[in-house]
Amino acid sequence: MVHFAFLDWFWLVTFILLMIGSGALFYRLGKRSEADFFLAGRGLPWWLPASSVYATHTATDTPMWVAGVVYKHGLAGLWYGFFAAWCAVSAFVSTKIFRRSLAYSQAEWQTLRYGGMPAELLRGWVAGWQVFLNMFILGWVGIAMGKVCHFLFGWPPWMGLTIFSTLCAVYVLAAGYWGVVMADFQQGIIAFIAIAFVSIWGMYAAGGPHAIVARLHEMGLSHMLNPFSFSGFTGGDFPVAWFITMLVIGILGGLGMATAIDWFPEAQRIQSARTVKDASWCIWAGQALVVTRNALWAAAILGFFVLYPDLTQVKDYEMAWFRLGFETLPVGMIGFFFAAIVAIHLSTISTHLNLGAVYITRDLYHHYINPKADERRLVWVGRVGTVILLVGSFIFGSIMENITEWLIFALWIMAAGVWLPGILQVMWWRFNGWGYLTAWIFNLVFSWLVVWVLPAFGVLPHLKDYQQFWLLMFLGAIVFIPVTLLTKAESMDKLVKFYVMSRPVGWWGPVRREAERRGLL
Amino acid sequence: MGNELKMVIGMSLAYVTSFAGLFLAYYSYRKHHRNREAGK
Repeated sequence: MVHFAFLDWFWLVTFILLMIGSGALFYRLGKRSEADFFLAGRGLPWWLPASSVYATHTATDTPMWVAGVVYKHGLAGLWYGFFAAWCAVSAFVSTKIFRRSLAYSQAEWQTLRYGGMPAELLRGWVAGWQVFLNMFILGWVGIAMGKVCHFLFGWPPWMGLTIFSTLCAVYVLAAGYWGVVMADFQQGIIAFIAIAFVSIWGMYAAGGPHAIVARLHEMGLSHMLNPFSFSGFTGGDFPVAWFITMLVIGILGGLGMATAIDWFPEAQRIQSARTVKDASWCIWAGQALVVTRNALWAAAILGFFVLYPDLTQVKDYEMAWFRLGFETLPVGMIGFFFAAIVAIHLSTISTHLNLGAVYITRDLYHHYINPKADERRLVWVGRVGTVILLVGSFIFGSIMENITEWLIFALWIMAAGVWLPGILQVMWWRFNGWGYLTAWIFNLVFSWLVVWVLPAFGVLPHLKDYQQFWLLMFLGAIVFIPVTLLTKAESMDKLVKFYVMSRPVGWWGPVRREAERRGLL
Repeated sequence: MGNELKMVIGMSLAYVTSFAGLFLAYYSYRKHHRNREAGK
């Protein structure tokens, strides 16, 4: 339990009012149209969506996750965050292709890339999946806040989950994406200052960088300072094979779309940028801040390790960064630190409330149910969708006791089986809608089987996560490649239209030649 | 309720929402085509 003095409460209340107020101020802009409620009118300079990329990917569970891997593996644990590298590649490849398409969402993009029934089925499938995934993310981030509040105030976890998500919904309902991105800018600044300050403070509480390094050498744990300290090529819990897998996922993933769960919020930020160039820079700069943030956290976690080297339970050491702040900061600064944690939390919650509502409104309602709906109605449907996601997140959050297990499964079911098709649909003209839809459906089935069902019945051993990735990718490929080649290619008219508008890279020779023949290039 | 059962219920929702989107798309596509054919 942490004691709050008057100054702590002052910081907390002031920041919460400021954060909610800065979002709600944009109420008039947000309600103008569907494009304003979900994309801020597509007119943002790169630094605004960049701050939103950074703020969104700094959630309450993120310091727990970074603390978990760095406490266990030392600096090498930072490679767990390497999948963010896909953004560095994507910023100059798939980000540009997606921004040129003008699609509101990834689901809508499917109908620009593919034609006929498979395109429509894919749009419905991806939209439905995204409603689930955003609810799920809201639940897991929300319950992480519940854990923090339980640690601080002794509240039951559902209180922290519901109170702060509901506060966040105030400005998301009022101003939509305008509220999200403006509040994210301010929350991102507060969060970055707090992360830098608390991490440096925590390091000095452990004696400073030199003392931490010296202590690790004395303890015979010098390998924790080596980012390339692996446990063998395939053996141990941190092998080179895993590292290579992360490199492949991170670097090649940037060539495609929907190759990581981060793609979907990024896609919204890409479309809200005012030009293709702004879109590229927002993705690159946002992820550069994420990588910098991880480095600051890692240094602080090593300090925590030196102070408390004998913790064996994950639940004890995953709170490392929070404990450094709450146990070492002076009275009066605790409230500032907690306000920053609230900022971290709200920025993620707001994004996923609004993002899930894009799919409910733009794809499910506007495209399928009521194509003639006016702007006013669409904004209201966006608000109803936001409330549905909020309530759903409470249900999901309340049943998630083990965050890590859910998180790994969610990342895997999303990334493994549709990772390669996500690249092929951008880079290979012959890849078609039936192939991609098959990959999605079989990915859900295969991931469930490989991760849970077959190991439970002893048919398959419990595989390491990188082994699961390659197996799921292989199983998916033996289904979607034959399906693609045995079904018709997309019509040349559709492909030429897509190519001329989006200018994809890769194997598009026949389409490019046809576009040139028609005088479109 | 055990963790395994919670996991099954939670993940089943992934299938339910994805297939709900897919069936909505299918229904809408068929309706659109029927209307277009009737218009001819």
